[in-house]
Amino acid sequence: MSSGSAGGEPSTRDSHLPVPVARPPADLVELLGQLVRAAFGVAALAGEIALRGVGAVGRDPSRTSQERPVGADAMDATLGLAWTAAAAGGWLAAAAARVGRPVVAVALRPPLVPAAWQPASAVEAATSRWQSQRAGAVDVVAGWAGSMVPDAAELAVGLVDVDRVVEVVLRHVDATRLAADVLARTDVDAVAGAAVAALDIDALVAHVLRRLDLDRLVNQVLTEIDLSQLDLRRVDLTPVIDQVLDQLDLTQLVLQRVDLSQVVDRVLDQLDLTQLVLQRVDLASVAETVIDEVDLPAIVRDSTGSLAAGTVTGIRLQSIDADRAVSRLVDRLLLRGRPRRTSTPQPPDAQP
Amino acid sequence: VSGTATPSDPVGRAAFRQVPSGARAYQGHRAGIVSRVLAAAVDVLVVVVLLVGVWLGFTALRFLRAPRQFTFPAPGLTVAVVAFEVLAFAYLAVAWATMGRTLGADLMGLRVVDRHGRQLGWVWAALRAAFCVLFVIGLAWVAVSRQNRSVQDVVLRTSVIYDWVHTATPVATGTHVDGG
Repeated sequence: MSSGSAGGEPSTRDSHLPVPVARPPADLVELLGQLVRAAFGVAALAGEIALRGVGAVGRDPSRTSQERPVGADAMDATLGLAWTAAAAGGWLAAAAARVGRPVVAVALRPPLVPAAWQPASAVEAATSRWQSQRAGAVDVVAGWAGSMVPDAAELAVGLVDVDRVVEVVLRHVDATRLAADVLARTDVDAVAGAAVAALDIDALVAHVLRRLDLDRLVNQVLTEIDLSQLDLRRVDLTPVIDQVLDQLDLTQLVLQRVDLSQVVDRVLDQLDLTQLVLQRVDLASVAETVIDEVDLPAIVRDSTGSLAAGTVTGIRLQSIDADRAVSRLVDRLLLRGRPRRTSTPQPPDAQP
Repeated sequence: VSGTATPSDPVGRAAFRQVPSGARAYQGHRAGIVSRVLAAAVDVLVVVVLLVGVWLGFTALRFLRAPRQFTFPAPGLTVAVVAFEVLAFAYLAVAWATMGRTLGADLMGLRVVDRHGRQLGWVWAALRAAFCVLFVIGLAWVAVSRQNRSVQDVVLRTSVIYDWVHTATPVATGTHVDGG
């Protein structure tokens, strides 16, 4: 094995292990190198986890421990010595392989030996036999694992402080980015549709309504909403207003709550009634209607007639009095004792 | 006052009730000097208006006959008096014969009747009109006469009576003047 071909630069290692990049090994030697490196990586990781676990016992779990755990240096020293030894072993193994490869090749394919008797043929036969049996063996393992894994998982979960694990995971995960990533890969509409189809919406809403403090919620909403900015065109207000108006005695309400005299005063102050009437009223037709309704000539006739009649009656009565006064005066001057005889005969057609 | 003339027919009685109570007692009685002078004054006014009308008509005719030589007619006093007398005669005669009263008499609620209490005929109306026009002062005898008669009334045996019921002028109700 060659340490150069294995690409080992152990001096750059630290406690934070690099993310491994999977690269298929070029040959058997390199595969072995990778296996060794992987073994050391696993050992380093397990060691650090173990050291952190031991250090975390009895400590406040909410605290984030970014400092190096106690014993890390000792573990690094141990692993460093082991790595050096492994590197040296690897170099020796690579050298041995380089020397031994032709020997092994000859040993597997000795000359002058029929192909059927060569060891390589036996190896190939064993290989092909195993390849034909491998699927069955894997199936047996898979069946065994399928029956054992749930129990093992149950056992593992029981041993592990899952809450702590989740907490640690969440501490290191960029949840926002993860959620965005998940959402980008998910057909959200389909998921939502399936969820809605599966839900008993009525029960859910009833449950939510039971839990909600609706008064407080509505008050909050009303406080934060600028009602005047709502798009009233989207709301069919007519039935709502109708119902409200049906339940209200508006007249009584206005009479109780409104200072009507003040309102009327204000309105009258702002109105030019004369102008309004001139603009809005067809005075000509009104006048025509009134004149049609009122028999003006009759009124004039009656009033002037009664006036004239009253005047004439007064003159006549006064003149009768004057007649009698003059007659009495003359009669007294002439020393007459008897009253005048002024009666006249009734005309024949007036007699009964 | 003795003997009130009360109409006997229903229409007449209804009209009689329209007469103010203070004046009912005098209906059918001969009128005194004041009423008759006032009536005569109104008649004089009427005749003057008629005279002016006649003058205007005469003037218009004159203008139409000779517009170039037109001047307002200026009749002498004699012509004017004669015209007045003629017009007055015609006015009085027609009024008494047709209606029993002149416009002045109508206004004062008076009516001229003959000795039977009836409306004058044309002859008597003409005679009385001529007498009145020629002897105006005869009216003054009403004040002296025991029967409220003028000279014309005495001669022609006519009477001028209060008659508000049959006058054309409407009588107002409710006007109370003490007739005592």
